[in-house]
This record gives sequence, C-alpha cells and structure tokens, in this order.
Amino acid sequence: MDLTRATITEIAAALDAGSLASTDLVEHTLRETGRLEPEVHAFLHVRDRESLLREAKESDAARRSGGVTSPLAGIPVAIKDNICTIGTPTTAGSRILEGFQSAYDATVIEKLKAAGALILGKCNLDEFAMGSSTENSAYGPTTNPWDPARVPGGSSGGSAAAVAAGMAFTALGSDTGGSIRQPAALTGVVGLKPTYGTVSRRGLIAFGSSLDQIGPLARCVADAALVFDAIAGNDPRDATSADIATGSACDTLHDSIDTIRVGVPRQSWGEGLDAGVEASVRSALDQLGPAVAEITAIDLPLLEASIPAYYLVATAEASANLSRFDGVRYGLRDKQAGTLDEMYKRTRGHGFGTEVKRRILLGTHALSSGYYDAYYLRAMKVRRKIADDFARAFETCDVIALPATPTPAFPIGEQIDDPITMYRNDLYTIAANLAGLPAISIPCGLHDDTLPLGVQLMAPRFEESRLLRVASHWEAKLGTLGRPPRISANGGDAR
Amino acid sequence: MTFDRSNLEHVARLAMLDLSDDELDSLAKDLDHVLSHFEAIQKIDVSDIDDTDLAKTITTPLRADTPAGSLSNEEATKQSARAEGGLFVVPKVIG
Repeated sequence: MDLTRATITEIAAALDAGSLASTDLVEHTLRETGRLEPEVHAFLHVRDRESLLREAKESDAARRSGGVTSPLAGIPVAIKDNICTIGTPTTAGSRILEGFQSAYDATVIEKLKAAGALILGKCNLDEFAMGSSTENSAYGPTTNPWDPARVPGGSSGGSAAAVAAGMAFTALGSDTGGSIRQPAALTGVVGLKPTYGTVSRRGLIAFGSSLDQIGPLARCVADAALVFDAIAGNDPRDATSADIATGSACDTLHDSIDTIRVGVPRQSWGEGLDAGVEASVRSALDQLGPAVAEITAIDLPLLEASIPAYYLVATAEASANLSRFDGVRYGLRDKQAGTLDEMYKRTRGHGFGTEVKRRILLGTHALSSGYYDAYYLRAMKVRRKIADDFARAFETCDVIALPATPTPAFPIGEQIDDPITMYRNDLYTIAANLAGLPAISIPCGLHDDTLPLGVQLMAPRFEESRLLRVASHWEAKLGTLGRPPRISANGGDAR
Repeated sequence: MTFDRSNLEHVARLAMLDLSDDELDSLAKDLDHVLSHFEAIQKIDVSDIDDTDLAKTITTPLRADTPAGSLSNEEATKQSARAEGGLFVVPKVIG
C-alpha cells in the first residue's frame, strides 16, 4: 500500500485485516517528515517518536482486543497550530505565543483522541490565521509541494502541504474566510469548512469569532466526511455551538444525486479570474452535468462586496479577540517596560507581525467612534444582504458551485506587500463564512499541467451531508489529478 | 476620506500597539489604500436592513447553573512570564 496516497478507508481496512499496524503509520509519517520537511516546512512541531510509537502500540493492542470502532483509530492527524493541544506548543504562528503550552485540549482534539486518532504535530499557518499564503508565519513560510517557489495558500497552508506531500493522512485547519478551502485548492487536496456552529470552537485561538470554523483537509471527500463526523456535534462549552443533530455525513455519501439542482453564480466569471482556472471549472461542471438534475445560472450580486464586508467584520472581531495578548497571563512579555500601559504596547508591538498589526489597526478603526456606522455597522448590513442572497438562491438550487480561487498558487513574495491583491484571493470563499454556510473545495485539474486547482461547492446551513454527497460524486467524475506533487514524485530533493 | 499618519497614531493608541516610525509611515499608507478600496461598500443600498435585524438570528444558549471543574490556580498562572503566589505580577499601576 502506498501510504503517501492511501485513503483512511483503505488504511482502516488494512489495520483491521492486520496487514498494517498503527506503528507502520507513525514510522511512515516520521520518515516522510524527516525527508520532506527541510523543503516544505509544513510543521512547526512534530511530536517525539517515542510518544507516538507508544500510542500507536496501544492503538494496535486495542484493535487486537476488539476495542476499536472508529476508522480514525491509530491514524496520525496533523493539527493547525492555532488549535490548543496539551503536551505540544501552540503558537498560532506568532512570536507573541512562542513556547506557549495550552493547559487543555480543544474540543476537536478531545474528540479526535476519543476516536483513537493520534496527534502527529502542529502545522504552520499565517500568524493568527491572518493570510492567504502562510508567508505571514513568524516561523517562516511553508512551500507548495507542487512547486517550492510558490505558496501553498493559507492560512492553513501547513495542514494543506502536509496532506498534499503525503506526510499526513489528514489534518485539521480553520477557515475564517477561506483558510481551509483556498490552500486545499492550491495544493490539490480536499478542504471542508463546516456550517458555523457545527464544530466546536472551544480551544481554537479566536480570530473572527462569528466566522471561524474548524474543518478537515483530506486526501479525498470520504476522508473529509470521516473526520467531520468525528469532530462535529454540540459543545456546551462553546456558546455559539449549534444544538442540531446533522447525522452522519458518511452514511449518505454514496446516495444518488440525480435530483440535485446545481446553481452557478453568474458573478463567478468576473474580472480577476484566471483563464486557466475558468476553463478547468467549466470543464468540471460539464462532467458533473449528467449526474445531477440540472445546472443553472444563479445570482449572487454582492460577491465582490463580500471582500470589504468580510475584511471590516473580521478585523473588527480580531481587534477585540487579540486584545487578550497583553503579556500578562501567557506568551511574550516585554520586560523593559516601566508601566503597565508601556508593557502592553511594547509586548504587542514586538510580538505581533506586520499583517496582524495591519488587521488589528483596521478593525480598531472600523469600530472607533465616528467610523463605526460607516464601516462596521454597514459591513454587517452588507453581510446580512449576502446571507439573504444565498437564501434566495437556495430556493432554486440545492448546492452552489463556483471556483475555489481566482488563480493557481502564486510565487512566494509576489503579493506579500500588497494587501488588496492578497485579500482578493478570498473572493470566492468568504461569502460562505459571512453567511455561515458549509463549503468544500475539491481538486478539479492542473493549471498548465503543473499546478493544482480546486472547484468549490456550498450548501444551505447544516446540509453537510448533501454537500459531501455531491462532492463525493463529483470527485469520482473528475478522477485524480493524474500524478502526485513534484516533491512526492521526486522523492523530495531536501536541501 | 484619506487615512494619514495622525489617524494611525490615534488608532494605535486605542489598540495598545507600539509602532516604529517606519511602521507608522508604511501602515498609514497601507490602511489608506485598503480603506479607499473598501469605499465600495458605501455605495450599497442597505436601507432595507434595520440595525436590529442583525441580532435576530442570534440566540444565547442557557445551561443549568451547577458548579463544574475548571483550571487550577497553578495551571492558570503557569504560562505567565511572571506569577507569584498564584497571582499575575505586572508593573506598578499606581505610583
């Protein structure tokens, strides 16, 4: 079995049959991370071999005694480093949290552990999940396994690259404006952002609390569904957690989609969409067509306006959320300061990177006296109108299909000093966050036969089962990307 | 409107952020550029959305008011750069 490409379903079957052991999976991931990490830098921390092997042996023993029920049992999972985990650092990619050790596991980690999964390590990200390229990490960028000169997308770029390069079997990311789906698209993996409130945010370091959602990055739709089923569910310790039973997405994955009506926003084909991306998405839609009831054009007239609405709302929330990083209770503290105010200012001035400062300042301005109505309140009203547009669209269609990104992966350094160009990478993804909808990106082809592209599906709130069912059928129609990323194909020319 | 260095100095004070001279210049330029792009939302008609509409979908879940466990004092102060006797120590606030 090729463990760099095998699905969790295949691996779980081999584990059950006894032809593979969890210890083999640990050995594989440690060998691959050792070989590929010098070039990819997907991880900020990989747990020690001894602990991982001990847990794997325990998992194998449990399986032999019939004590294993979840397909995730014994599978090492990579975790974005803004999700709190006991026993490893949790840095959120920021200097201000360098060396921070969480006193508790996030609810998603508790759930993964309850399912028997092993926590492999912590993945690189844009600082506090603010970015679309993983270049904003205080610990250096992650590279794209398809082309080391290019970004893997962001902010869950480490999680995406770890899965794409075959180092991780699956990974958790977080998605505030596209941070799971965009890197999934740019690295050729599957990325699911669940409905807001479906997966607990307890233990996720908050960026935009009304937008953030944890979800899986995976090798295939079925793997994403397995991880989603394991981490979803009401959490009384998250006040925004929805108390709605969505049922197992895995159970209905292969049900027919022949009654599904697919809506494609006319606004998808606007300015800024790369011609190669458009061709790939249109071709993918052609392949989906025969399997569904109909594909029709719909309108999302405020798609373009979702960018300013999002960046005003998200930064306003971030400015409040990041006020907790003041040097008092955890993280970096400036020790030269003579007064408390000076300590706050100097700690934050030294601890935060440029993009985080930019967003805190933008959000503070949007909330400040004299500007609140013009920026934050207006952005919230536009957000409501966008949600209303989706509600209207879903009266005539069951899912919405559109590109995941306007372009393929771009070169490292190309957009880092141009915030507006960088923010436009989120054009097709942020509306789902503003409306709280579930959305998924699946690979749909290679741009110029070199770089992966993604196509995206959105569904009404709490309709993950429908979303994943359509995605699974579509994935089967599209087939694989045809070949592995360069780094896997070459065996990793680690420098 | 334009967003200049004096606007930024005011916002940086509100945000408790120490910025270098170079940062004040470059971030003022960045934010001016970003905000001028974001002016587009001023043109969208939002007269049909009432301020109170925004809170309509939000509900606050309630739970039984029963005592439950939490972090110990030691665990809660363990990550602080300076803690003594179970308390966070900070520079003097009152002279």
